[in-house]
Amino acid sequence: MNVLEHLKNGIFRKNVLLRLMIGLCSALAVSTSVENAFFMGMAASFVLVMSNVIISLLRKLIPNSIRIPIFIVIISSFVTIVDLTLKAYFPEVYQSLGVWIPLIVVNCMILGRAEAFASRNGVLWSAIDGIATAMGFTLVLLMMGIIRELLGTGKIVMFDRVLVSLGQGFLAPTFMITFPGAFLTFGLLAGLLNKLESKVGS
Amino acid sequence: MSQDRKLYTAVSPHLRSRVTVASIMGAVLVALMPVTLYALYLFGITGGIVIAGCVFGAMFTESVWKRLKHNEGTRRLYAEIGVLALLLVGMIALPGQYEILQWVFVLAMAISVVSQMNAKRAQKKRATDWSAALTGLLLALTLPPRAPWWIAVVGAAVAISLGKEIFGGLGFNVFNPALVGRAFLVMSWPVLVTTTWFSNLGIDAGTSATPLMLAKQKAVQSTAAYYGPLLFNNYGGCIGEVSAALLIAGGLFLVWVKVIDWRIPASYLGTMLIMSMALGVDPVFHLLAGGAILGAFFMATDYVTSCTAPKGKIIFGVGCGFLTMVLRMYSGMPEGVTFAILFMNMAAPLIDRLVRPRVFGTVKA
Repeated sequence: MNVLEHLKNGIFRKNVLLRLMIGLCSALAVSTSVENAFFMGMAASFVLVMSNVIISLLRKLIPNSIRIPIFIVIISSFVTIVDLTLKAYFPEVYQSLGVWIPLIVVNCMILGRAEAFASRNGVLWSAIDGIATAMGFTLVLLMMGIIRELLGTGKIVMFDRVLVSLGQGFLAPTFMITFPGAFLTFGLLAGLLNKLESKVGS
Repeated sequence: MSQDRKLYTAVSPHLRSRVTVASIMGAVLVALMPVTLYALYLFGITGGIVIAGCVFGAMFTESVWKRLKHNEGTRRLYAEIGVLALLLVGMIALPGQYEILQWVFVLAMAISVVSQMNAKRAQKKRATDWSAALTGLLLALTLPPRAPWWIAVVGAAVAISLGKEIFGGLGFNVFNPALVGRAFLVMSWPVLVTTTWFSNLGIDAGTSATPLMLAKQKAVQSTAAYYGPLLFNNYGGCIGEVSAALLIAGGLFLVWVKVIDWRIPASYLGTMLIMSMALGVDPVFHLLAGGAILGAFFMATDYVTSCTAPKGKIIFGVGCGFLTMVLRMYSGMPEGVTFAILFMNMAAPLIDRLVRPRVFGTVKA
């Protein structure tokens, strides 16, 4: 299977959020704004790719019975790096992401890809799988962030600068910012992906 | 054999009842007419646009979905949507004509719906089974009379789209569509949907609140003073709260013509009665105030979303009544009917399963 195929699968056919449906809780919780979604996507992508690489390098040395705790140790060291970096360079984002950054450790997506792929395949392919999964994750997160923030607050704000605004007269349905809005957006996006795939036939 | 007589075999059913989906929807609409007409008389054109916006918004949304599903009349559909979009632009660009344009919008939807019905009748097909109109009317009755027109239209569109069509159409929905629409509106624009009533019954000239809100805030000395107004001319509250007497009359009419089963309203209101007595609050007030009568007779009894089995219906009604009282007394909201019924809609398939009778001769699984 070539690299492009793997990357396409990560974004479309085996999209980790819309198809595999793992790692949903943090995705639904942080997608209330594009800023949060973007930084969570970057953070989770970094952790995913790096931990995939390290776990793949060590895969022959890890005893099978204690593999999960060892994965978690490896993943949490990268999450700590991300945590400290965000705290240092983007403190407001760190505040608004709050508890979801440490929770990247138990993000099912990262543990799932480590267990299903990185622990069984070579370093290069693990890295590519990490990148593909991360791309799918970040893309869906960004789309959800855009939809929810634009419809739920009427504007998209990043670093205190208003990027897009729907005007003063727009009374935003705050439903989109709430959790039901998250589930609704997520469900509609999953349905949209299905519809697109059935049309393209890929 | 040289017989040219053909054998005509028809597939069953061979005897059809006169009851159709449309006739049932029609009966419920007739039952709701007294309240609707009285509300129109009390609230005038302000309430009229809420009702018209909901009903025609719902019917228009249903016709849009139908045309997209069957992929027919798409060019005309795009034209209609274009006209509506143009009207929206007009409302933003010419704020002076806002009042008229909002009625033009609603009328445009009405014209589209009516012409669709005519076109289908010419082809000898049915355009609508009137379930969307009923959903629209029920939603309108749960909205305050001074709600903006676009809340009515958006609520109706969401009610039909997310409450019914996305599940697969009539018969496949899990939740009561009107209540889905109302829940969406309450969560999206809470201020506009919970404060835009007319003046209250005169207890306090400054604030404007419904009897239920006043009771919740413990601002009234005796709730018994509200019995008369609640029964006959309640200004403060949603469109459907104007007259509990007319709603009860409509509900009893439906029970009489056997469109709804007496078990659900009886168990719903009975549980509310018992619980309010147990909790030490005025039982008659709680029965008459808010959406209890509307919910018990018209929303909880929706065939698709409630239980089918008779025993299940009683359990369903008890659950609804229990949750309504719990939400009214212990939650932050003054009214509990919406979420109580939605919650029991979730539980209905489970209840039906649990009360399934054992087939004769089998061992209880």
